[in-house]
Amino acid sequence: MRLVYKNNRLERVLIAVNALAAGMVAATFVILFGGFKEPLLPNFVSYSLQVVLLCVFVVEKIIRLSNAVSKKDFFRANWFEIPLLLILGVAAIGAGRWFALTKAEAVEVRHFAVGVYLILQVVTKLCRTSVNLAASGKSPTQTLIASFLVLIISGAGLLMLPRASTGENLKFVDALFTATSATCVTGLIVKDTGRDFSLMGQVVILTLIQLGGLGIVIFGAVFALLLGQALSLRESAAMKDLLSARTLSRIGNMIAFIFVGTVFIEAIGAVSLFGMWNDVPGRVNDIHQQWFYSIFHSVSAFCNAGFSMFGKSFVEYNRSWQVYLVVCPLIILGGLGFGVLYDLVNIAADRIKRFFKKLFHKQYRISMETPKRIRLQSKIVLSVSAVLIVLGMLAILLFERYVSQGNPAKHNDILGALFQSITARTAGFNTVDIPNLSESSKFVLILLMFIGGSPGSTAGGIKTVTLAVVIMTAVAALRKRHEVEMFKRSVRVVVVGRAVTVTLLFAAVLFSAALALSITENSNGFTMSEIMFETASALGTVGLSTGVTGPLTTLTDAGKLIIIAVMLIGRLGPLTLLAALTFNIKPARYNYPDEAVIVG
Amino acid sequence: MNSLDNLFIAVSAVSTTGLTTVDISEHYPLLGQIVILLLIELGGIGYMTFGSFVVLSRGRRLSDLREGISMNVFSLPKGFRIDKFIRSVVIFTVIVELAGAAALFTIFRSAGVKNPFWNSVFHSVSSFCTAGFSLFKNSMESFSGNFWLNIVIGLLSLTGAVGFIVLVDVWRRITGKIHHITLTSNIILRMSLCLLVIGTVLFLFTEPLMHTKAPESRIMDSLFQSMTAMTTVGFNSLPIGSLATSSLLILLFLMIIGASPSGTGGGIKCTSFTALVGIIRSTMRGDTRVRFLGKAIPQRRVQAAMANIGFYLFVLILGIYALTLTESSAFRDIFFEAASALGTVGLSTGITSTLTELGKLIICVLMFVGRLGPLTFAIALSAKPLPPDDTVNPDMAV
Repeated sequence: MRLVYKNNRLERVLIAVNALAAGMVAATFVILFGGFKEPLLPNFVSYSLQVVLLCVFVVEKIIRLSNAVSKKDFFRANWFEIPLLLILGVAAIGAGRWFALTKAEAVEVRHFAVGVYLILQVVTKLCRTSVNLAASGKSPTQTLIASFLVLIISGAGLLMLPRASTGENLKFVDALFTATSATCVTGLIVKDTGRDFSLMGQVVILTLIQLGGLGIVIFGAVFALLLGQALSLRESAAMKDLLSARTLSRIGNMIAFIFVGTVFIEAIGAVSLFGMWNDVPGRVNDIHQQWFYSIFHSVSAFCNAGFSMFGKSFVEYNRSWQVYLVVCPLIILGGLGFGVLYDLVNIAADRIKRFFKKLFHKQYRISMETPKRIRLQSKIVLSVSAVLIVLGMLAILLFERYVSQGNPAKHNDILGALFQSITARTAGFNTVDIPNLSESSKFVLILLMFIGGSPGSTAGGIKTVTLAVVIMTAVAALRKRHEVEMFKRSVRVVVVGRAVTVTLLFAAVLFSAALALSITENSNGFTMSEIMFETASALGTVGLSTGVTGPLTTLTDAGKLIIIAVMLIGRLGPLTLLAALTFNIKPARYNYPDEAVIVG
Repeated sequence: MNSLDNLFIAVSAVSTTGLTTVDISEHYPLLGQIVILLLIELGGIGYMTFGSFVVLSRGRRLSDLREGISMNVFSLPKGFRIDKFIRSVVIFTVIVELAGAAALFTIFRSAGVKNPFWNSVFHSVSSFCTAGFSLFKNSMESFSGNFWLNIVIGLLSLTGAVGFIVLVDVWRRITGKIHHITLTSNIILRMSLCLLVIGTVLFLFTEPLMHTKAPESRIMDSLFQSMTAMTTVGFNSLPIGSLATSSLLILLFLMIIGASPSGTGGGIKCTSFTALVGIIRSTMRGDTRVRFLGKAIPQRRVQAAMANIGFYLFVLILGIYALTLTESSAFRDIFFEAASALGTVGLSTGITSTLTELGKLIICVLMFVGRLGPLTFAIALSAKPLPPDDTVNPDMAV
């Protein structure tokens, strides 16, 4: 959704003003809540600054409206501003007059309304800028990497503020580790999220998870759409040809779908989780805290982050039905990816429409357009995910003697194995103590973590589709077929090359990182399985740990930095690689002569 | 001595692995040791080569099928005279092993080893066939400082691992009969050298055990250990079980890649590894063809390499999983043991003798599969008629 403006110079000035204002908003919030123990500025100065900034944003919108060539387009692009402004305006003005509130409460509500508006403004502007940059096709990869780095570094900065942690200030490495882990939706920790961070720190972590999760999904969707175009144009077209109006509108639709879908699913998740905290008495008593925990775990599960407020994840809650009926579906939905969800929603809508047409319009029974077909991508994702969940569960269940410690009820065994199988790709919650699992189960988990979720989702790993392509390539070679075939469709050679490359590079990174980690931790005496498990967990952005990381970690700083790097590579690597492979194509105009070479 | 252990030793010998559940110098008399040596020799040169040598000496030609199979085993390029080739292979083997035995004889005698003659013959054959069987209880640990022994064993193993074709190729290049060595030989030599250097350097700088030793013996030990892992011979001059995790990972990496396809070693083979590197490079460049050293590699070969590696890793993963179920050992021991068996290496962290019966069987299967080549195995399992458009490609060696 690119708007066209009449006066470009004015637009440029506005962009600069916006950037400045956004920076100041962030600064006021840091001063207000970021909490230095002694406030740097009196609170009323910060509040008045915020009001000024609010005016700046409103004026900016008005100038842009008058500057826009098409007013209709402008309203369409900013549709949510008007109701938002209205609601917040009513809340702010009406606080003292129409609602029965004390004066202090009214002031509070006004501050809150201003704050919410400012935050939303800054967040939407940031999102829009990064999406525009990504969609402009000039440097999607750099934009992706830069936005993640900015997010991580600012997150680390916020986490280092005195009021973010309950104890003493965080060390830089620990803050960076936590911020990276949250932004990359991994879930590995070096501090206890529930105990070592104050509410403010937890909110920062939650925000990082949400932004990191959404970011990767949006970039994934944009890349996938552009990639689809690139493939259909035989890979030779330049990027500017790909950005047809149709692609842009599809990107817009997709992003809207992602936002609405995320909020909708996470809201349902949070509401369903609410009852769970009473199952273990004494942990979460305060009702506000219960709501916060519900939202936190819902977001964490849907984004496949695996951050938990409890030091032992869901081990204490392993008898709550919500863990299996709410958290598991959230993880699976998050791991399927929005491409598949979009496809499923479309098809479901189509089927329902057809059903009602059939019911009420007799003539449709005979002449009917062909029903929408489920895409190959979705077919592969759904079948591979189902197979992996079941296989993983069976592999763990059949030989795991320790699934439910001190609770040998048979059904709990199955549930425990099922949960571990789901969470290993690549959420990272656990209902059993991972260090107590047998070596075989750990090995199964390592494999599942390496495979990961599906493309276009918040999950990590090499991705289900990649696995399917690699397996089918081997099958094709065995059956002496020239083409790699799946579901009666053949897969392009280019795609096969990419799948193989991604898998091998992942394996190479896993191996080198495990090697590097074992070198830095030589004095720590971790076993090979612990190191492999940890590396796979970081690379797949999972967050399960056998104890190498955790609140009581003895990891060296070098080791922490290695894990940070591995998390970043695991998160950004596949997409960057995909983009690099798609957008930097220089077709060679010559081929060298063939010569036989022996392999095997 | 039960029959399972005998089976294990036999499989280990024929597959030139070198894993042993019992100490062979203690449990087998000289006759048993000779049998083991013959199995190694047969397995090493390839029993098919031996069989065809017998046939050749009677003056009969090989059947087409046998010739085809021999092509497969030795990964021959097009237009190779198989009968001549086999004769020279055997002569070459005997000469190298005799020379090795002579060199080892002087070393063992001056080191005061009992029965130096038999020991030198046994170890010479064992190194050349990259088997790694040893008559000493602790493999080569007591010789870790012996410069000449390290050199002789290293040269023998490298000769065996690099393979007959490559050496002949190099010899012909040196004598000026040809102007360029073939692409395959070139790849094999470069990749082997590269892996050896990388392995040695990494090992040298990361193994904590090394800090206590003198610089020259550090280099020698690292080189020897990397060499035995890469050539899949499997002798050890350092106690493998007490190495650090990082060193084990380096050895695992070398063991999985393994030797060259023309030699007696195992692993996915360095040519397959090269194909992998080539695929990654060409995909990164957005190139549809895989190139190496300026030459394009046919798509089918690359695909075969992929399938080979895929199956190798698949078998390895299955093997590790099965072993984690039957054994109570630590993951690193199991991983190492499985990779060692599948790569027909023979290095072990010391759990071979304490394996359960099922575990021994699994290792046997891994050694067997690792020797025959996962792909050969898989093709044999899923033998299907070729599609009509696919004319049989006689030079398709995998």
